[in-house]
Formats: sequence, structure tokens, C-alpha cells
Amino acid sequence: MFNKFFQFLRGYVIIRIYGKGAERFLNICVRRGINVWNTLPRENGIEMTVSLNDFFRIRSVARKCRVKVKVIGKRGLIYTARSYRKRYVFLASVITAVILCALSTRFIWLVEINGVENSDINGIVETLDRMGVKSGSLKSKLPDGMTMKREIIANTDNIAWAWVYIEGAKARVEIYEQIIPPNVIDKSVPCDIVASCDGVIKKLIVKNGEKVAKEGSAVSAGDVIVSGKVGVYREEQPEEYIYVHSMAEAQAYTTHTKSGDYKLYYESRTPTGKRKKRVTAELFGKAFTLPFPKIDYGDFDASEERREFNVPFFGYTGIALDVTEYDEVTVNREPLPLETALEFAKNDLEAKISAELTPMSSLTDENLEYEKTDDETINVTLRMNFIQNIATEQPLGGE
Amino acid sequence: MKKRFSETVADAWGVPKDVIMNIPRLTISGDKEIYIENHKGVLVYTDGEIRVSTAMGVVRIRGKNLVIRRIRLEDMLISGAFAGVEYQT
Repeated sequence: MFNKFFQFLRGYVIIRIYGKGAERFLNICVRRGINVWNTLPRENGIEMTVSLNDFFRIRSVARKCRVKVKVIGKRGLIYTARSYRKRYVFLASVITAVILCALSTRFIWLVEINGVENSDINGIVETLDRMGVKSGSLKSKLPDGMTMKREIIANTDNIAWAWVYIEGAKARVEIYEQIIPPNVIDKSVPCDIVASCDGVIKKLIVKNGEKVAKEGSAVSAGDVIVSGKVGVYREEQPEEYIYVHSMAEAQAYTTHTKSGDYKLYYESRTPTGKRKKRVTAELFGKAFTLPFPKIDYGDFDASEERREFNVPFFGYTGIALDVTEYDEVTVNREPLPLETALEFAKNDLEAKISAELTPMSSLTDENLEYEKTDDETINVTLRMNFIQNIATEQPLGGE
Repeated sequence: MKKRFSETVADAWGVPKDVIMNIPRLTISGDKEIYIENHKGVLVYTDGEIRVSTAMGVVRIRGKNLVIRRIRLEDMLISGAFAGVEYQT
């Protein structure tokens, strides 16, 4: 690639050598250090390419070998420039385009924010807007990198690090979010122990606090099991209370039930081979979608690809094409055996129930039931019984 | 056949013969590419045959669509669909 580019810059000539001494011509060229490439055998001779500088050295070689040299073509920057020298409008257009590209990269045309999952992206956009990192703003007016970093971190919660990279006309904002630690109540803060879900307490081990529920009693989610308000009784003294950080383990029998509708068929999507592309041109922050071709497919899969126009040494110029490809598909319904549908439903419902469980929960029993709602649908209910620790800390006052 | 002095030296010292004797080294990749080092020039160059002069004689390469992709003073790269390589001493 680079080799071809430099060959084009230097210029080269494609020649054809006729005569019996064509091979000798080739050998002498190699011996004299004349760089030849793309040698191709032709009728009564050899076709080859030599650089423009070396072309003027082959005359003596041709005379020595008694061969005829025919120029097939001339390539290179000098020849291309010569052929366009009188096309003033074209030349002016090229110069204008280059100036426009150079000017356009002095502005920000696209702001790309990466790495935001839990943070407030609107807040980040507002902060960037305030600093001038928005479409159409002049790059030279932007504050320095450290200021932008400080502003983003100061104005948005849970951001560990941020940086604005300026790449041509694009501002790429990289955000690294903090890993939020689990909400653990400080040991010095008084709290109750409450039930995280409904259940029947099997075993209750209280390490701190006053037991409210008993083993064998049924509790609902949010019920206090161990209170952090502990009564202190002294003879001939009024009743007093101290507030402690309750600690307990409450093993309970719990039941988790989930249900959902599942189809007795699955849909396979087969491409028909028909494909249409729709192009959206993005020019300096404004998007223009072409009204054609009309997408008249019944069912289709769509995929998007973005092509940005970058110029070496300048980067992104503010011009991009978003190409959306629409592939027509035929949707076929294949019947699904009942056992397979139930297995799929069970896996799905198990995943939903497991999201509600506390660690170290042990399964004791499970039951799967279903009923047909119509010819193509079943309603599946999964009931799972566990022994699990339902004790969770809650600050006093039930917040 | 009488050994040349350089060959005797190469045998005695365990040095590769192409280094001391300037004999050609051919590296054939499948049936698509031949890399020849220590050649002395091209004798015949056609679509179906290439003859290369070397210190130990002529190397004849037969095949289809034969092309010398690169040629320099000491090595050359030939590509095409090869049918055979012969040594003509």
C-alpha cells in the first residue's frame, strides 16, 4: 500500500520490450541497479514497470540488447497533475474541498460519550454543553483537559475518572464509573433485623438485639425479627431502652413462585437474499436521511454501519455516512414439543427466581404446573421452596 | 566425480554449501511460488516456461501463468501454477 503510494508519488512508466534480447535486457537492467517490477511475459517480449528516474537509463541498455521499447503507460503524480492542469474549475473545487476539510476540523461536530452505564448521561451532556463541548463549537475555545475532567467528575455522581479526547472534529468522552459498594449499615448505627421475604422461621440465632419473632412463626417481608431497641430493666427503676446494632441469622422456609406465558412454537428467520441499503448522511452535526429506497419488506433484520470521513493529519472531518442494511427474512413457525417448551419455561422462571434469592439458599422442593390458554400458548407456574437466611438489616424507624 | 575445493571445505566445516559455493537456493511454496537466491539471470521468460541461469547450470521451471513478480541482483520471486522444476547441467 505505502509502496504503491510512493511509487505513484515518484512516477513510473510501463514499457514493453520487443525482440530476441528481451531477457538479456531484463538481466542487464537488474545488474545496473535499474529497479523493475511487474514483469509479465508477452508475445515477442516482456512487459515491465520502471520508475521515472530509471526510465531515462534504459535507452543504452535497449541499444545494447537490440530490442525495441514501447511505452504502454505513464503513471504518477506528475502525469496526473499534467492532465488536470487546464481544468481550472476542477482544480478550484479540489482546493476548496481541502480548505473546507481543514476548516471543518477546527470545530467539534460530534460528541461521543463512552463508558456510561449507571450514571446520569443527561447530566454529563449538560456539563459538556456548559464547557462548550457540543456540536458546532470552536476547538480553540475549549477549556484544557484537566478542567474538563474536574468539571465532569464534580458535577456527576459516581464518576471515578473522565477525559475528553479531541480527534479531528470529534470529541470522544471516556467515562470510568465508580464501583458502588454494597449498602452496609455501619456497626455503630442502631438497626433492626427484618425479613427480606415471606417465610416460616426455622432457626433464629440472635447475636445482638432483642428477639421479636420466634422459631416456627410466620413472617412477612418487612416484619421485624430482631429489634435494635432493647429494654433495660432494673429494680425500682423506670424502664429504659438502649439502641443497638442488631445482628442475627434467620433461617426460614420460603416459597418463591413465578409464572409466565410461553409459546408452543418457535420462529426461525431465514434470509431471502434480498437486501436494501438506506443511507443517512451526517454533515457537521446534522443528519439527512435519503428518502429512497423504500423499505417495503414485511419482515426484515436491520443492521447499521457508520463510515466516518477522516483525513490524514486532521482526523474526523464532520462528514459521516450511516448505512442501514435491511435484509428481508421469511419467518417460519415451527411447532415445539410440550416437553421442550416446559424445559425452556422452567429455565427462564428459575433464572427469575434466583435473582430474588439470598446467598447460600438451599432448594428443598419444586413444582412445575401448566395450563393451556389457547392452542399455541401455555401458562407455566414454577413454585420453589427454599431454606434461606431472610435476615436483613434496616435502620431503626423502618427506612 | 571430483569434488571442488570449496565443496570439500563446506563438507569439512559443516557450512551450508550455498554460502561457500554460491550454488542456487530454491524455496518452493506449494505449487504457487518459487523463491530463487544466487541466480545469474533469466534466459527464457514465457508464460509456460522460465529458465534461470545459476552457478550449477540452468534451472527450468514449467507451468502456467508464470510471472516473475520481483527480480533483484541476487534473488527473484516467481509465481504461477507450476508443473515441474528441472536442473539442466
